[in-house]
Amino acid sequence: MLSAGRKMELREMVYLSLLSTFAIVIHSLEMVFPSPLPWLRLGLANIITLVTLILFGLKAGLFVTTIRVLVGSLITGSFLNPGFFLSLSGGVASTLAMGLMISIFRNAFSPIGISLIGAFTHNLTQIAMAYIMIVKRKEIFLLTPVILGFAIITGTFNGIASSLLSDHLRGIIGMKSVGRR
Amino acid sequence: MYSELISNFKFIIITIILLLLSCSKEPPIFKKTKFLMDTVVTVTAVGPKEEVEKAIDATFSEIERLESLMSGFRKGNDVDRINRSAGINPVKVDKDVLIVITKAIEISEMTGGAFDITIGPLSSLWGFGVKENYIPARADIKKTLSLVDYRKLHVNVQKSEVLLKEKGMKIDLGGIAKGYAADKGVEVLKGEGIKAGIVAVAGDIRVFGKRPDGKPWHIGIKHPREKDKVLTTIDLEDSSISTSGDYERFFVKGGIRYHHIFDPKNGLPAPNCQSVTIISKEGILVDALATGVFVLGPEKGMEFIESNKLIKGIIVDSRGEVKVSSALRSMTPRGKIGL
Amino acid sequence: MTFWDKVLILLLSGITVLSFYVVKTIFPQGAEASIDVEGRTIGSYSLEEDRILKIKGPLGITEIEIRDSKVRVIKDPSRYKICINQGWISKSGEALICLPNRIIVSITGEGRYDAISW
Repeated sequence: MLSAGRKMELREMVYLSLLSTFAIVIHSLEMVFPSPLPWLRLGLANIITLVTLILFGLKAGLFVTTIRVLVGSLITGSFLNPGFFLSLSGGVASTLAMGLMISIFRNAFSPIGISLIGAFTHNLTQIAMAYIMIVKRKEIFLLTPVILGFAIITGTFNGIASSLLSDHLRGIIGMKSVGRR
Repeated sequence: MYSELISNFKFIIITIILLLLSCSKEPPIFKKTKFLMDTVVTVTAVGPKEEVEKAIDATFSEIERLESLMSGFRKGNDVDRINRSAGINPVKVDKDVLIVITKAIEISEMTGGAFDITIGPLSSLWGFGVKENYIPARADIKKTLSLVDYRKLHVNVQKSEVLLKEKGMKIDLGGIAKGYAADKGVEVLKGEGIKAGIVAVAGDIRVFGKRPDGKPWHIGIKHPREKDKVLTTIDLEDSSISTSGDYERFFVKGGIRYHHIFDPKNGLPAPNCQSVTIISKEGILVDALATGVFVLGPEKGMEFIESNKLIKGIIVDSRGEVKVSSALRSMTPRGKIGL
Repeated sequence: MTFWDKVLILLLSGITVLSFYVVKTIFPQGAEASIDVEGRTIGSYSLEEDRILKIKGPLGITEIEIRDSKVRVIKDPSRYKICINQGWISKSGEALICLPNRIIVSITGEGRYDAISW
């Protein structure tokens, strides 16, 4: 017989594994789909990250993101490529930013606002990393307005999706969420 | 929950539309070019299209008016009448002609006669643009020089009258009228409510305000020897710039370059500069001084520039060496000036 | 959506618009096409001279055309031909980015002026 605490832990692990799986699948699918600019993606996997953050907190969010990038890159064969480091840095930075938003501002923002911050952080980190690691020319920052505008659109969309998904999952999981109270 | 979703979408769509609108709202800049004053006049102005077009047209008609007053090729205009009444009687002239001649005499005094609008007879003798590669005889030059002296040009401001003291004397406003036209052009633009723009009468340029992106206007200075190249660029707001060069009108004969900027002292093309650029507030001043400093030569010319706080300048001497006045060195942001 | 969400959206939109102007200011207008392959500048070409440049990148040859003071990419081995679809560029700060083939064509230099004194 498991104690209540152990039961909780196990449940959480199962859910995190499931969420990671979703994230990996979405991430890999997105890598295969065409995009107007390399590494500029809809970031649908961020939906999973945000849901994880809302339901299970920052550590869990970072865990899912890291697993997603690692396994996703192994699947698509981009492990340790420049693209891998862009995904990793963007993913970790945006997860951290969203986690901090949740813990600092609590209920001031809905998942939409949190997702927007995530998208901005994600895209800015990626362009900075692309500059440092790949392009090494400041002209890359000409894309800044484009990627920021893009972040507003994807951030909002992913935010709405995360909001619906986390509300839904909260019912299924039947547990108190960490982020929204 | 769905009504909430719809209201969210409305908000987002409105935001995106606003975003797109603000991106497209780049303040416009318009440029028009017209052949006036025997050269190309380009007027640039910032503002809404209709307003700017009206203002630019008004500027062109003002410059056209000045051209008809001051051109050396119009029978019966003020300049022609002054020249034909030389040694006979004073001529009543338009206010603008009076201003230009008064200023010209002032600049002649400043430069010790290096700039002189009574150069007319000498210009005619050499005949740039009329005679082909003609080098006048020494004796002819010497004879003509006696007719070149700004001190024999008298202005009566009260009566708006101008008199050339000796028969055969001629004024030529070619070295000063373009700068004045730039000044007046800017005045017209401002009067039409334009906040920023450029009036460029050939290379005599007056700018005011700032570019739509909030930066000063970028003005290039022509390279005296390499065609289509620029010596340097200078960022200017609310000032005038003019360049005189030996490359505008010239011919080479027997290995010697003969150009159209004459030294009023000896009647020969001033030999010691390739080009001179002057920057100051007024267009009329920089236009005349670019010629004056060119005649003074690199050493005396730079001395002159440095002695006047309101004037900045660049001199390219006959060997192609570039001298930049001290006040200007900090103003050339795009690195050093070089050939 | 909360009140603060809306504030955030407006704020981020503002930043986006601002970045547009900042980028425009930082990259002034010019008259040379500078070509980069894999982060290394291989050369700058005057826009005054019409020509076609064949540049080798990791995926193959990218062909760049300079004509009438404008630049465009006419052939590129990448899958989506984004830099070809970008069309002509002419102002300093504009760039054609053929990232798959690691080639960037950007317009640089102290080129353009509002007026020239001569």
